[in-house]
Amino acid sequence: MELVLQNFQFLLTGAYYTLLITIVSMFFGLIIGLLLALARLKGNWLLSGLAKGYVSIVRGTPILVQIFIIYFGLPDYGITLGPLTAAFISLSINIGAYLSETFRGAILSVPKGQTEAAQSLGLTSWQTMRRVILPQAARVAIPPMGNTFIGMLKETSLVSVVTVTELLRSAQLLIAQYYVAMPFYIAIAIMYWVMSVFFSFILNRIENRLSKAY
Amino acid sequence: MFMIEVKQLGKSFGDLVVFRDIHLHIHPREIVVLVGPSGSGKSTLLRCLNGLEEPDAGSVVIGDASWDFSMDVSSKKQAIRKIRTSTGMVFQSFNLFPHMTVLENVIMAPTIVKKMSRTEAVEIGEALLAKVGLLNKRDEYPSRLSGGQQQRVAIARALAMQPEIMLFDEPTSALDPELTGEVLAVMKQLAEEGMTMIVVTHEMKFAREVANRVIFMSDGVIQEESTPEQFFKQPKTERARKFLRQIEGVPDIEYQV
Repeated sequence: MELVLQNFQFLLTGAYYTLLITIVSMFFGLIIGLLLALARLKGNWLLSGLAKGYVSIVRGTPILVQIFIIYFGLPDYGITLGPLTAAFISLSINIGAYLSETFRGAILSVPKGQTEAAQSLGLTSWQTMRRVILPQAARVAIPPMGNTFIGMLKETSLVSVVTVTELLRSAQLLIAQYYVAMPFYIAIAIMYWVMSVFFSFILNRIENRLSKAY
Repeated sequence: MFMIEVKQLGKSFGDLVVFRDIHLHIHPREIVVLVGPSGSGKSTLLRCLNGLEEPDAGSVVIGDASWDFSMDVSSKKQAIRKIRTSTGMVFQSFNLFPHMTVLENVIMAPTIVKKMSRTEAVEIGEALLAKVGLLNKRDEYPSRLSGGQQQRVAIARALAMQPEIMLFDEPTSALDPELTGEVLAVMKQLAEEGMTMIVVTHEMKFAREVANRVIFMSDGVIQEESTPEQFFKQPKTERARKFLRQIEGVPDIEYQV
């Protein structure tokens, strides 16, 4: 226990990287996911086919393999990325595939009459999407998005294998130094849990705000 | 000079012919009520007029915008956009935007499509809400309103774009009977103010009192058109007589339980 407190600063730095990776990849994942969902729903056969292929490949392969391809595979072609950059890229690509399915479902859940009403008022399809469909889809997408988000928070632990010193790797480094495992693992488990609870809380707030009208 | 001129309009869904060879001429300020049994194609015809369904034959001229089946894709799209700016549509299921307040519902299209300033749009929006008797609900969300109130907001929303023609697609069919009156009253007021209107409805009382012309559609064709007096007293076709008997509540056949 004392060891944990002595090294708490070090663990906090690890937690900071975990949070950073989660938030950055969630941010880019959101953008990728939205683009993929729109490509599948509104794109021509080529765009929608590409989006479908992307989702199929990313969801059908282990995230660890994706991380290795980005970090260890790309240098073969002269693209060498830092561990943190590789983590951002691989997790964004991964989360984008999952979120695109969430968004697609959410967009499809908005009744057709909403589109018709917007178009009869003269809105273009883009304006309809932005003003009418997406705000309503967001409300539907929040709960499953929360799942993905919290799942991602924990999956960041996988990037410890490419030497990003996030929370898990911080603990492993300390364990290697002191030859005691349990206190550090318990400590980071608690820290993961606290972060999850914190995110759940924020997502709940957002959900309540979007549900105000209903 | 006609406000709406429809020629040889046709629409099918796959093998199902919804209607064919429809000709329709509507004068400015005219109130035309479209009646007929369900499945007769009247709603689809109305939806074809502002491009919610795409006809597969014929032409539509509304105001100074014209749509023709033979046009290429981009001119069609442009024509539909132009037609939509001069027509307002009211739906059976209201289709208010649930995530916006009543006032936001009304002012959204003017600010987005017409780039009107918010102040101006709010002014117009409030005037329209006052007109449909719902100014006190301006900051409520649609889910807090009754069906009749929602439909009145939907009318105000369509009017906010200052259309020359209003299309009503069974505006009272989703309402409880005691709520239809308030919607019909607003429509009647619009008619008196000189709006050109096409109304698909089962409200025969409204047709009788407000319409200038009744068009009876059945099996995808216009079976007859005449003044309401003539249509209700002396329908020309047997189909219309049968339809009227049914709608007046006189059963055609005996039921047995």
